Amino acid sequence: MKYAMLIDQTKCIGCGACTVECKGKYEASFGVLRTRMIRYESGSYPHVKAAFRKQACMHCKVAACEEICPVKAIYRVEGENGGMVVVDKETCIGCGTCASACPFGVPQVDPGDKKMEKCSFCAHRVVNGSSTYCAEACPVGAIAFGEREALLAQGEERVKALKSAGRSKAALYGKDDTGVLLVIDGDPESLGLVKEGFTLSAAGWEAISSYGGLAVAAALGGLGYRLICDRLEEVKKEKE
Amino acid sequence: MASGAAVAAGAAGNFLLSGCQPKEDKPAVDEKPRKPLPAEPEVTASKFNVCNVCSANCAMICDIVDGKVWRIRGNPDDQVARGRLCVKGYSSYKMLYDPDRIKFPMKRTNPEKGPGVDPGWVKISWEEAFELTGQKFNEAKEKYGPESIVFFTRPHDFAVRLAKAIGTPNLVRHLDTCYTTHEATWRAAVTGTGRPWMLDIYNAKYILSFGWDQPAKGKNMSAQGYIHALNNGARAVVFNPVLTATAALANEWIPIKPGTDLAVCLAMIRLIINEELYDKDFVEKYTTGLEELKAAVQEYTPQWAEKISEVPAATIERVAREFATTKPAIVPNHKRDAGGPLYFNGWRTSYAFIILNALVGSIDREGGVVFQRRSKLKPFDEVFPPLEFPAARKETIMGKEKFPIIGPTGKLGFVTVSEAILNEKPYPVKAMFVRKQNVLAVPDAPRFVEALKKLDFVAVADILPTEIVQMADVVFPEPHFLETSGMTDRVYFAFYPQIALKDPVGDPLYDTKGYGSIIIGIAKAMGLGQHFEGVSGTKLADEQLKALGSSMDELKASPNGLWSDQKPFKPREEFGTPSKKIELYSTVLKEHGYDPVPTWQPKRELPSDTYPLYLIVTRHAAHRMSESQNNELVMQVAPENFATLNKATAQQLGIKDGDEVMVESRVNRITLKARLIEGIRPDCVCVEHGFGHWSKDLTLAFGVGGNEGDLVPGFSVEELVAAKDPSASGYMSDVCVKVYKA
Repeated sequence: MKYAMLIDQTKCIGCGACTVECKGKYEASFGVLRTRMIRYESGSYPHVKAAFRKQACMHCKVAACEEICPVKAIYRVEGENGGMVVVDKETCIGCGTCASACPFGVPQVDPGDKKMEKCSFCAHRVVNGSSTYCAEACPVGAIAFGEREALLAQGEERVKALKSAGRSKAALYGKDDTGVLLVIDGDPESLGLVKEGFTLSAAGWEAISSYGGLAVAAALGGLGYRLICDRLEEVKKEKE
Repeated sequence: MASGAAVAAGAAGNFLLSGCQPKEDKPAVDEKPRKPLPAEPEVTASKFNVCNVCSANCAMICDIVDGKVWRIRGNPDDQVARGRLCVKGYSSYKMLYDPDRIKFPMKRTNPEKGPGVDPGWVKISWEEAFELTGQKFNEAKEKYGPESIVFFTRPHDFAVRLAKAIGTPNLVRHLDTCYTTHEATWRAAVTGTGRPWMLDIYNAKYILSFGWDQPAKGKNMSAQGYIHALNNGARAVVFNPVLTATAALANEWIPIKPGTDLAVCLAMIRLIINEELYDKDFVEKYTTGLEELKAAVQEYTPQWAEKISEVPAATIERVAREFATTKPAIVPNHKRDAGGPLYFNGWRTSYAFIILNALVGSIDREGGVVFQRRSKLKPFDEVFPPLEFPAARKETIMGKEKFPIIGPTGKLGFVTVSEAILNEKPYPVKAMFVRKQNVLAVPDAPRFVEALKKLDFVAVADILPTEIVQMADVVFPEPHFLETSGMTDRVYFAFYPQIALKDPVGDPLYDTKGYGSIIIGIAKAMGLGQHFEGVSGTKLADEQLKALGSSMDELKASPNGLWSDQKPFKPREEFGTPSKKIELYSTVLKEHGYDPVPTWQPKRELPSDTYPLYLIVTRHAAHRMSESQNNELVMQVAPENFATLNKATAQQLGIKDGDEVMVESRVNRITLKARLIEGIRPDCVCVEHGFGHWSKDLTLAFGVGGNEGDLVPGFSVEELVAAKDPSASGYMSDVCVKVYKA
């Protein structure tokens, strides 16, 4: 991906400006949000820390949702400015497999149209060189949009500054794995994030596939698998 | 690749789940080309406007698509907005399109009033609405005197003139539930007029917050300034019983015992004076009373403050020294901060904030508390000179005349309005005109409902069918602010005078009238039309701009929708007190019989066996008071309010996360869901304001959450006078409660 977002969780006030701005621009049922705001705490009173995380699609380099989608509804936008992970709603059967596979708990099946809903990285804007709605809205500038290389440097710079201010656990999250970069202050777990290096390589996914459904089912758990089967049945009936 | 996963999943079906048949006939993986990405909607017009969600009035740019507001952006040249808006501003257009809006004038047909009662609305014409209101107001005036008509509104020029023309002195205002503690102390000790509104957080290097929480509440300029300052290396220390976003982003969170911020402030003042850490140049040139103050605070040692506040003495000492020696430093405050403006000792705390800011030279200096440089707008009465008004009674239902410092500002009345009406003190109230105020905002709201029931006639101008509309006899529908025109001055951040254009986003959606026209309509129906001869909002704005050397036409033609007078910032050298200086020992307070220095006083309600927890009230960033709970965007971000408890406390009470609980005070109880966190003192319960709507006409808001204001007792004017509080404050935060499973 040429473009990235750098979300600085050490600046985020958790207000939800990104959430409402995004929600107002994309059609989805009430309560189905492409980006959510979650408050995390670590420690216990009075030694507590709190931070907010903008929970939305991270646009993984190797995306579990894309790899596992049984009908190939999840794909990457082509072109020089592309690379973001998006959903082809016409193809999506709303089985929710992606939701159970995503290490960030991002995809949701909209109960209205029974299609998967998630952040598209404002692909239709970004391919034309525009920014994302959330980055343009954030009142405190916690969301930066730009070319990945520049944002990587900016993120590293910020981490350096935080560390020199005594925040030893400051880190840049997602350098190797995700299209969205996060500046965090603390362990990834303190923001409900999986440890870095979480994504299997494309080869890894191939391997799982070649082992057959057992491995996939194990990866998903029985429920995820059941979802696929049930939904495929439903779609078949709907088509009839 | 993905097809592999699908095939694999099919195979696993055979293997694992007998109920799921192998999908030999599963849909073939779609190989047809992807549909192109949707195009960005075409913006056909962009209109300048001013956000009216809160008084920050951020300048907006509204992008229109297919005749509707598609997106709102912050105006980059506005000093307040700086190109961004807050979550409330971004979502404000949803209220414009709210299907529940009041669409035409209405009258009630059911004389019974109250929660759960159907008013039996019928649509009426504007003429009938005005005639009915005029007739009822005149009846009250003739039978009981003009003072029996009460205005329950903000002080809009038109409404004030109508009140004067009627001859009623009763303009009930909500500021005693809000910021009169700041207003009274700034007025007495610094300005002689009002309080400053501008916090130059952007340039501060040390931010000492006693419950100041505007960033967490999403206040645009405060949030921007705070994050900017922190990025610039400013140090922030936050005293707050709750770990809010402001506290979480600060360098230090100190969970102080509620209502004891004054003790810490006094100990800091003592240390800064005794160790001579204050800004000697500023204090010498611009303040008086240092010696008297020094003598008065000697008993307030850090060890003494520790016992009261539970903040370690060493912390108090260290923070005081850091605050006094890092420049510029600021003790910011806005309105209802947790630090105490609405405790029994709140006015003393507010005064202590002023003193701390003065000691470090941060009053009207960059990085400090700054007097906004407003445009000198020609007053309404100069543009439209008034006729003679009838003499109004001196005695008011708000007790204005009994509070020499805050009374003349008229910024009071909410706290005492229920008792005044119910007890007919000092005289009966019979009719009320309400605008943009709601039942839920008044302390002990259920009692206020009883007071409203006692009135013969209530007229309400509003946008949405709120609770106060449910209590109305006649309803006047107003336009949403995006449908209105005019101009607005910059106040909350104005280093120089700046005015922003309001250009409607389109034709009004419904049969509404602007507030000014509603007032004039009532005036004419009452036979008082002569007081509004030639008066109009359009003319007022134009005359005011002409007096500044501009005009409405020029403002409309401005490429950024702004008129600016970019004078350089010149710090103030003189202040509005008898000594022309900032009075650290207030001669004005003394003259009126109040303590001239902020000596210690505890809060009123302390935890007891019956009510063992402090009630803390806060606001979600996405919500604006009780006005936003029917906004479909806002309600997806913050769909309800909670009783937030410390996990340990909840465990003792047998309460689990998500349980329904009762929060009960000595006046009422409410039902909420419990939310358990670590970042709150174990002796507190925190509730967000704005919920608990009982108007069935508010589809999204109805029945969600609870109104914490129900828990707050109201007072009589006599009780407030007896409290010897120059601010007549309502002690909205000074409540203890018990929490138990519902």
